[in-house]
Amino acid sequence: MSRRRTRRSASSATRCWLAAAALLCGSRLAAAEPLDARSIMQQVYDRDDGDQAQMHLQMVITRGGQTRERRLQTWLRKFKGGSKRLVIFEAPGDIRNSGLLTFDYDDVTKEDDQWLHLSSLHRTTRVATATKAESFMGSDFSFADITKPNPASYEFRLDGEGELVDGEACLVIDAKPADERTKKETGYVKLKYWVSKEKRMFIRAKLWVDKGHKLKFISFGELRNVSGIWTAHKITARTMQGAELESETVLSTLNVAYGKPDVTEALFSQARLEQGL
Amino acid sequence: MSKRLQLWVITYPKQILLVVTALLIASIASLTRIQSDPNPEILPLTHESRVNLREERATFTGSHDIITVMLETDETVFNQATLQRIKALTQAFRTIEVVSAADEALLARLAASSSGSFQKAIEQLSKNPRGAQAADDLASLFSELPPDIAPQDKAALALYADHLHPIIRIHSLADTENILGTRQGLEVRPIFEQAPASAAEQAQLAKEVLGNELLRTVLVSDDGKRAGIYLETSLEVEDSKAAFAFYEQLEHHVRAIPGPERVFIAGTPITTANIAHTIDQDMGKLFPGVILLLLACLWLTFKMARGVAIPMGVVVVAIVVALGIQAAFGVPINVLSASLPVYLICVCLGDGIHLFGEYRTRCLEGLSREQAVRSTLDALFVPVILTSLTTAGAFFSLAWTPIIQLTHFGVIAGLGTLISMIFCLTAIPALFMVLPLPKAAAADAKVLRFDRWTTAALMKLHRAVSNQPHATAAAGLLIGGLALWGSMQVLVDNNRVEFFQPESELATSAEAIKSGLAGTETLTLLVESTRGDEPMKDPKVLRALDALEQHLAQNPLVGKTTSLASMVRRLSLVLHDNDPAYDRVPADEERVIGADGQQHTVPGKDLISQYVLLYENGGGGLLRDVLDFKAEKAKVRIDLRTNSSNEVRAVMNDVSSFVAQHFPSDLKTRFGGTGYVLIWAGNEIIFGQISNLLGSVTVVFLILLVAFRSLVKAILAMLPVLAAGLFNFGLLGALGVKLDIGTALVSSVAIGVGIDYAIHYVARLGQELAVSADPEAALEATMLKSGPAVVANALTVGTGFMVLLASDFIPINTIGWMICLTQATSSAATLILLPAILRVVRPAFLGMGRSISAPAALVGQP
Repeated sequence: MSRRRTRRSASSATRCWLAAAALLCGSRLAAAEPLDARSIMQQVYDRDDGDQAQMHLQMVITRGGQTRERRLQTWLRKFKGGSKRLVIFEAPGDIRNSGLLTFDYDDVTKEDDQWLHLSSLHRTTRVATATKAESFMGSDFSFADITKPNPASYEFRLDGEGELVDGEACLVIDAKPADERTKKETGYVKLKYWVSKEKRMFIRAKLWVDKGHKLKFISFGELRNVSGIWTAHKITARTMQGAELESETVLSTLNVAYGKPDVTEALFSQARLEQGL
Repeated sequence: MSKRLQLWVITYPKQILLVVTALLIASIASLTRIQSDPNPEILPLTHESRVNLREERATFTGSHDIITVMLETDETVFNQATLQRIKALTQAFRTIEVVSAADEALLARLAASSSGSFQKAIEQLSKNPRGAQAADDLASLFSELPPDIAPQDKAALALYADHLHPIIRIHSLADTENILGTRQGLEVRPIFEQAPASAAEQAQLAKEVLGNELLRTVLVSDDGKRAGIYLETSLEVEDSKAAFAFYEQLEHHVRAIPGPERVFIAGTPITTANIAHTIDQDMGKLFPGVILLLLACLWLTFKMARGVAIPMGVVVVAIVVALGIQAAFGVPINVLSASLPVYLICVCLGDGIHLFGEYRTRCLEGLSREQAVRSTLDALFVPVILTSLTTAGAFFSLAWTPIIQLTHFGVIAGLGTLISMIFCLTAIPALFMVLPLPKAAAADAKVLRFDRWTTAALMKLHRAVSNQPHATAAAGLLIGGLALWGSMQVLVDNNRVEFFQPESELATSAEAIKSGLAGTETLTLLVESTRGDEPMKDPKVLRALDALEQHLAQNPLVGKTTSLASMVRRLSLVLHDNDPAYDRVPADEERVIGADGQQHTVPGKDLISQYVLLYENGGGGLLRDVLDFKAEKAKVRIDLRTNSSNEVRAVMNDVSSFVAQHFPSDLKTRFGGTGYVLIWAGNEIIFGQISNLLGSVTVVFLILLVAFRSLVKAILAMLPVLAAGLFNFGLLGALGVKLDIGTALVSSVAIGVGIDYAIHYVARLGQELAVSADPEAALEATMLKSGPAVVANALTVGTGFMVLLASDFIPINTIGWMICLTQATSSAATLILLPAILRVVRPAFLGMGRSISAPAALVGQP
């Protein structure tokens, strides 16, 4: 069985269609039809969360009572078959203008592309890595965490509906990697999601980390509607080892803009990465 | 005092025995609650070395105990079958769990006593406490811990978590990522996914691994013939039962996944677990043997059932009562006090033997039962009290230590000695009063062969010594001098691997890993600075760490070093297309040529920061092993090809002097790692014990001084024990036996035993001098009356302990021969050296001035 799926194009026509579909879904929900976990997760995956986004982020990592702050600019654009992301560090000074360019493909069998620019070395290196389980920039987020889970790679089960999390009525969905490859790639053996009933976005996630038998909690807070897109402005990831909090990362969105015309395909190039801020 | 006791014992023997029986029953009841503490780690958690280790573990990953599994081939490990086996073993090891019955009981108890969602979660876990599902459930359970959970329950759950997944991290060819510089850029990927089949691929793999300074010598030996699988385990050293279960499962998997490679397993957790396990097993097997042999010796000495039963029975009852009291106070049995019954029998049996021997002699002399009991107590009341008080004093002075196990050992042993003393003076005479008189005729026929033999031998000895007192004393002095020389050769060391026979699996494994890979012991240097922001990324600091690593590479005891410096060097190399010129840490300022072809001058610190960022950004799981979160602390990991505390100390001294000369002055350094604990657990404790030993000698001397009210007598009584002690140490030095915790402990027992013989002798001599004006006659009578009991005591205990020589575990073996030796040296010193010195020194109390030139008979006796 092929798990490959064709992703929608980012055209506005499709978006209209999706909006209509969402409305339809809404009415069906009201009729209390039994909910299907997979279609919920598909809706989360397909939710419009900005095709051309530019963000200014602050990342505060706390570990053993010590904190470290990093600020970064990031640009995101979806393209046919995946998404591209450009991250450039703003602070601290010793890593300013260093950055990362990532091409993330929907095709689960295709390895992502990643280039790393070290500003002091004045050099860009292509980094080939087989896993997304590793930490993103030393934070509690892994590369797998900063991309939405592709429903094709998981098995889902609805575990509850109507649970209130931070005032948001949620559907609770249990997920398991459908194959060893996904398990290895993400580093998770089991996942649980709290999906907003209304917004079809994650409110909370609980992730069972294979390595070291840790548990990771991610919560999506300070939801604000930006240009019609619900956006979490404070995402917190906490890694637990047993009963102890090992580390915590708070990713705060300082500002975000969607649909900016200057976030073009051309922006996601090595040349732009090397240019810095 | 003695008279009142005599009256009391003669009047109320049955009541006394009743009270003792009641005490025995109460103690047995109490003993059922006794707890066991299998912790083989003698340093308290508050000790600096263990505090450092804990802090290190909280700050740096990869700091827990590591078990090494080494596969050895004749050609190369880079062949398909070996690589597949490494992969299969790595996967199998990952499934190891050591959940115990105690863990299951904990879950059942918590399930019964909790409520709400926590109860639901724990019930789920209780039904299925093992396997992958349990691991997931447990992770969830921790997130639902009720805030009011008892701290001990929380700790017990954490222990269960450790048992469920005892492995924190596996480092092997099959489970490690390699950072490679390729033409396309940087590649971070597993060393291999599928074991390569073709020779070309295998050669390429070998080149990649051996070309990585961070992996070579660790994952694969420099010659490519050995590969290491490293299991970092969360099991604490206290948890030796779980560690042993872990070891058994490792061995099981190695057997279940066979191959032509030779497999060796070693590491601190394996060694400590095996020590605790072997002591447990060996003591269980050998202790009954000791008892049986002691019983046989008693039988040979007295040829009477009660001659066997009374001394042994009373000591055993005293031990049971002492352990009963221990249990009542909730003091657990530990690795040291597990051998306590052996020591107590050794030091307490003597009093019983003396009492029974004396009583039997009196009976055979035709005294009535009552008279015999009275005169036995007259003769032995003071010596029994003195021998017991001095022995107890020696034990109690051992308790003056920060080592809780040793404190428990000292207190309980001292207590046991005092209880035994009380029983000897009450229960034994009470038994004499209750049991029928020894039958003179039967005794005459059977018993006296041994007596005749010893008497004849002792008489010969007596004559030899009285004829040649100066020569004897001179010989003693010569032996003493040699012993002193030997004592100076004694090597103080702590090498737990050497507790096992050189040909044992554990010792051969440790040896093989030492020579094949980087070794199994680790010393770490913790470097710290608070100056500036992220001070560890300063090129000056990194250069110092790098220089230290280069320096230690010359030290044959060092197998491998790892620090931020070696990791930065690795990245510098691969990011510069493997140009050897860049196999270094950055300078304070670096000139780099950018993609635009222009030259830029950049701060070295920025470069280092960006290398670190690269490690942090995936792939570099090992970064946290050497650098803390704020880059204020760094760790240099030094793998050692030794398990000896002396050699670890030598490396530590080497590092210290290098640091003093070459490190920037604002860097604070301290040592950590299990190697540092080893140094402390070794040398410092042993030196502590030596000072305790001196304390024991002082205490014993003070007791004797008070008892004899004579400095000369006290010194004389101390003489044999000092001589025996000196001889023991001399022999240790001459034979190259290292002074470790075990041998130091036996030495303190030697004082307890050695002093007894001398006290019996000196006390008897005093009594004989009181009834005889002739010192020679008194000396002879002392020899003939005290001698047989001393010989019987020494032979009995010495022979009994020979059973321990059957043990393969060297510390137990050493206890065996050292106690045998102590018996021989202290009895010989009492019966040969002491009389000779008495004759040479002629103390005033002996009244020898009257018979300087002629034997007593010539001067004329009244």
